[in-house]
Amino acid sequence: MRFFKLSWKNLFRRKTRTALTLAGVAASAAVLVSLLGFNNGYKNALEEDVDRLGYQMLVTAKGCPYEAATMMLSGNADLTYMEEKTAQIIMEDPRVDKSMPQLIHPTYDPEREATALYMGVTDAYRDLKPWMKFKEGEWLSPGAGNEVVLGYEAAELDQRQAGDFVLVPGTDEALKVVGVFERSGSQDDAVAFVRMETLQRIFPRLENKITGVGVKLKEVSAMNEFETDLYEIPDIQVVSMAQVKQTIMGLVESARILVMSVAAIALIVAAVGVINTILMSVFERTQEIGIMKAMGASKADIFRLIWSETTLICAGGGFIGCAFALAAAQIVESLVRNALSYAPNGPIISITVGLMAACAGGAVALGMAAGLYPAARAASMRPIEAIRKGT
Amino acid sequence: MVKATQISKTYRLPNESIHALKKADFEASAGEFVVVMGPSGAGKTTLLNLLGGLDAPTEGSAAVNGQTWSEREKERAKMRQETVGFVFQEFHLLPNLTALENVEMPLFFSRKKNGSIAHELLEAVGLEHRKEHRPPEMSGGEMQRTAVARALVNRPKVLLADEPTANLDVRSSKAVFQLFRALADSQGLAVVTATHNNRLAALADRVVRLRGGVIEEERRNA
Repeated sequence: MRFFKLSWKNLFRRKTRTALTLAGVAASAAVLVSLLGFNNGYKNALEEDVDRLGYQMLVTAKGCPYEAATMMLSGNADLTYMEEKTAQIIMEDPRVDKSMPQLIHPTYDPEREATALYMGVTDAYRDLKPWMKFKEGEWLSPGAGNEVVLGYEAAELDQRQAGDFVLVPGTDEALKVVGVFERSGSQDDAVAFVRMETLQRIFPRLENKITGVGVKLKEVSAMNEFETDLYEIPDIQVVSMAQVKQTIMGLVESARILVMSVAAIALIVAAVGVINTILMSVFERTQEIGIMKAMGASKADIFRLIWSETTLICAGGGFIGCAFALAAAQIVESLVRNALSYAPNGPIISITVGLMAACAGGAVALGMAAGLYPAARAASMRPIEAIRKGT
Repeated sequence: MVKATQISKTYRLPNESIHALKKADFEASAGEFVVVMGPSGAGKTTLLNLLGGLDAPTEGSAAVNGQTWSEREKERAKMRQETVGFVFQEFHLLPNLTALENVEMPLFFSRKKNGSIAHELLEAVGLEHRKEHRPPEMSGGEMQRTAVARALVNRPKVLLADEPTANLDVRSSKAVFQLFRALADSQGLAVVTATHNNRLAALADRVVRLRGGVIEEERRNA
C-alpha cells in the first residue's frame, strides 16, 4: 500500500468535509484561472483590435485622451470636431504614406431604441483597410450620393442587404445600401459607412468638420518627430496606436491588480480552510497516529502521510477548478463583456494549457505549504501520549 | 528476549508525582508466554509501554533482543518495526481499511515487501475469508485476531498485548490466548500479556503480579 493510497482512503473517511474543502480550493483555482485568462485574452484581443485599425496614429481635436482612445476603438464617446482644412495640412505632409479622414456621427434611433453609428469616409478607407471584404455589393460610388455600405453586424441588426434602403434616424434622408462587408471581428462591423460629403450634407452642422484623421507614416521611425511637429498645430491631439494600447492596458492593469488581490485573498482563505480541515483530521486521529507510531511509523512517515492528504486535496481542487474555469469560459466571457464599457472583438478570456498547468501547479504548491503545519504537528506527537489522548 | 532492569516510571503532575513503576526487574525469553496481572493502576500498561519502547523510563533500562531502547525517537521507531508487535485492548484497526490492508499497514512503514505474509497471517488467525471486510463489519473477536495478525506482520521478536481480551466474550478471549500460546510455542515468540482473567492466565508459562508499581509475586504455571 502506497502513501497516496492510504492518504486517499483517509480523505474519504469524512466525505462531506473533504468535498467542501475541495470545493473551496476549486473555487479559488477557478477564479485565478479565469482572471489570468481574462488578462491574457483581453490584452491579446485589444492588441489585435488596435493592429486592425490600419493606421498608426489618430489625430483628433483637443480633448480627453481617454475619450479619444475610446473613440478610436468604438466611436461612441462624446465627440469633438476639428476643421477639415487642419486635416488637409496633416494629410499633405510628405512623411505621410496614407491617411484617412473620418467623421463619426452617432444618431439615436428611437424606433429601435439603439444608436446607429455613421462614419463619413473617403476612398482612403479602402486603401488603409484592404482586408475589409464585401459579403455583397460594392464600395460607394464617387460624389455625394445617398449611398451607404454597412458593416456585417449593422446589416444584420437592420435586416438590410444590398439594394435596400436605410432611413437616417432624425432625418428624411434615405440611403441606398450598395454593399455589405463580411464580418471582420473589428468595431467596423457595427458601422454604416457613407461618403464624408454625404454625411456633412445630411447633417449641416458637420460641414467642414471631421472627428479625426488616421495616419500611416512611410517610416515608423519618424513617428516621434512627426508627433512633435503635429503639436505645433493648435487645438489638436495625437493618439498613437502604442498610446492607445498603453492607455487601455493601464486601466486594465489597475483593475487587474485589484482583482488579483481579491484572488490572492481567496487563495489564502482556501489555504486556511485546508489547514483547518487537515488539522481537525489530525486531532481526530491522534490515537490512530499513536498506534501507527507503535507499529513503527517514524516522524517522517506520519509527516508524509498527512502532507500527502493536503497535497491531494489541493491538487484535486486545482484540477477541478481549472476544468471548471475552462468549461465556464464562454459564460464568464459574456458576463465580463457585458460588464465592460469597452471590450475588444476577439475572445477576451484566453485559457491556455500553460495557464492551467501553472494554476494546477500553484494549487499543489498551496497544498504543500498548507500541509506543513498539520503534518509537522502530527509527526511530533509522542506515541504514548497520542494513544492516551485518544482514550 | 525482552528485559527490564531496575526500571521505574514517575509521572510528574503539577501538585504530585505518581510512581507508576518502582525499580522493577522483568524478563521474558524467546518462546515464553508471560502474563502480567494486578489491579487497575498497578503499573501493567506502564510496564508494557516501557518494554515496547513506547515510553521512556525515569530510571533503569529496557532492552529487546539485547538492544537497549535509544532515547532518539527515530531509532526507537526503527527498533519497534524490527522487534516488537503490539496488541491493544481497543483493537485500534483503521475503520476505512479492509482486514488485509490493516494487517499490511506495518509493512508500509518498514518498507518490507508484502509478498504473501499478510494473507498467511490472516489464514493463521482463521480470517482469510474475512480479508476484504472492514472492521465495522467484523465481530470483536475477529477484530482482535486481525490486530494480532497486524502485530506479527513484521516478524517481531516480542509480542506485547495490553488486556487484549477485555472487550471480548469468553470464547473469543480463550481463542486469542490459545493463539498467543501457539505463537510462543511454534514461532519462539516472547509473548507478554496484561490481563485480569485468572483462567486465561493459566495458559501462560509464568504469571507476574504487580501492585502499586512493584512486582509482588512471580509464579510459574505447572
